[in-house]
Amino acid sequence: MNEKLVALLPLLGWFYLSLFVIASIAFVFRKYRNIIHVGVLTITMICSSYLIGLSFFEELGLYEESVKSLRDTALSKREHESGSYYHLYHDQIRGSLPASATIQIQGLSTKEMYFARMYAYPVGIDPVATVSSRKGEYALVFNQELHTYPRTRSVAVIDSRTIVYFLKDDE
Amino acid sequence: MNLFEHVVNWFFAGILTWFMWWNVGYALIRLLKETLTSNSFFEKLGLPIILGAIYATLLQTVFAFFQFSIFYSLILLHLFAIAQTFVLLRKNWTRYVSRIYNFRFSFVLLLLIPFFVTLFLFGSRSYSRSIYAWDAIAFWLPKTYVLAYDQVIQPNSFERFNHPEYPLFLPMLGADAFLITGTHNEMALKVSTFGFSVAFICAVVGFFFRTTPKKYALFFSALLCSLFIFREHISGEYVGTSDVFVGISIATGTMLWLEGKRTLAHWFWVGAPWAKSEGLVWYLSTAGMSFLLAPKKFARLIIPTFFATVWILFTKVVGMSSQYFKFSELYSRPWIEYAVYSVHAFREEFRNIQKWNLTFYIFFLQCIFHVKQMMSSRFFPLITAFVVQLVVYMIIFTIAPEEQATFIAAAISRLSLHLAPMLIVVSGYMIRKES
Repeated sequence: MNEKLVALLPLLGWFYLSLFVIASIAFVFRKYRNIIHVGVLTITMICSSYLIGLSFFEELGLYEESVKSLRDTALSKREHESGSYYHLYHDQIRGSLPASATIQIQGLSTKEMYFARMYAYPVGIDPVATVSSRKGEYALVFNQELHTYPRTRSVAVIDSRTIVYFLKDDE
Repeated sequence: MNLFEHVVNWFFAGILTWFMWWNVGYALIRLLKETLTSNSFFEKLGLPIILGAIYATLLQTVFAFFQFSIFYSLILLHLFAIAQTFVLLRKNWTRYVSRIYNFRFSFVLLLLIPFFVTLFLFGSRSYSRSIYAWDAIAFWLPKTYVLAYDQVIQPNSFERFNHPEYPLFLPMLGADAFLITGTHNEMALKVSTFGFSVAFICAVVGFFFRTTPKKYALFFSALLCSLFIFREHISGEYVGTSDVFVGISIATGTMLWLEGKRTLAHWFWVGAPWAKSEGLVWYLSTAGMSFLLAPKKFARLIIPTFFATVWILFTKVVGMSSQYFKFSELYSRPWIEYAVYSVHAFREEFRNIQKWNLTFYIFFLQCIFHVKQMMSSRFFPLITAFVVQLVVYMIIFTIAPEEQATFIAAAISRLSLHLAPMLIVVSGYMIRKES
């Protein structure tokens, strides 16, 4: 039994044990409850005030970091977080394709895929392991791979890659 | 540096949007034939902004559902705000002028300086970075892009992102910021959402300085502003901003509940489920307690209850469900061990000093010394709703088809954040009673 009680100590820690002790003292010395309350609350508030002060100075410290980029433009702040994704997926891919299109893209990381499907909306992003030649669909392929997709039309060239359209039989 | 861009962000997405929210909130309070209990300037400034943010976005969502463009509803709301301000100024301008003329400097205003400094620090931290957090990129921000592009609600548009079933409060705020600045300006979005942080701190500081002695008011207001998780999220990382709003909504409703404005409190609590689904538990618990306390007055809660549940009902009707949790795929587990681990997780969280600066300790301490008060109709429903909310979180941690430890580590602080501001409000209010 004693062993079980001892095992409770680390489980509850000073946090719950002290609350239990305070509750017990307040119950036993009901006559002095108000004094106990004021005393305990004051001590707790002093400790908490110290922690509040620490938090405040921590926040002040963070300001030194914030101020470096505070006046930058929204565009440069976005580029800092997502690189050239907005330019690629919103301006170039979305700008080149009809709203109902879906484009296959190889080798997207999860992070890039999240940015891609957001910025390219309403164009759908289909992350694929290998591009498949589905007629009537689009894909972003490297320029040097273009010859492996014979029945295609080039929609736009984006640096080293090209958006291709897989022609239907009647096109 | 582009000064014009910053002016556009802070004026259009900031001041003009907050002005519109205030007007919508104020009009709703008048429509309900309610009043805010106090003459505190800060409460009168902050509370209508929070209420307005909830109902302006809700209204826009309903309109957008019926294929009415978000842009036009935004314009209409702003026109309404301008018209109402014109009417108010015309009616009461002599009163406003005399108030400004008779303004007397108060020592209390000096005590507020640290809060303005804190707000400045939060604002600058938020404004220094674009949105980058994981959840924000995974679904909050994409939904904003979708709404800004489509201008109306097409449920299947959200299906390609995680959590399509999450409510549209934040995405709608974001879409408004995009539309009002005319670009995909994520900084404008942050300025806009920062408005309810400003409003909340104003409301809380006003509430504490009115209801509690100054030293306690100063302490509890500072305690709220100092919470690690609160600072982190209120700085506008966008992920967690919805959690902050659940906490804000619960805390502001609690302030009104404690002052006897029970119907109005429920109108504020609607914001909790509208910001994030977890808030529905709080709303339903408090509504249930209100029903038990005064069954004859329950008719007053029908409309807010409808607003609180409308999004959940909508997602059920159109068949939107989480792509993250598949509760139909629950597998065999040692349930008792999982449940015990969930309980331990909250025990650990509450005693984490670095995150919570003794918030939970002070609350439990207050409970020990105010057992009789806790049983009163003023506090008991709040405590019950707190316990119900916690139990529901523990159940979710127990049954969620996720690796439990990782899931808890990622979510527990954000879930505790829903309740912490309310606990600080309750703890502070108890001190008022004894002084």
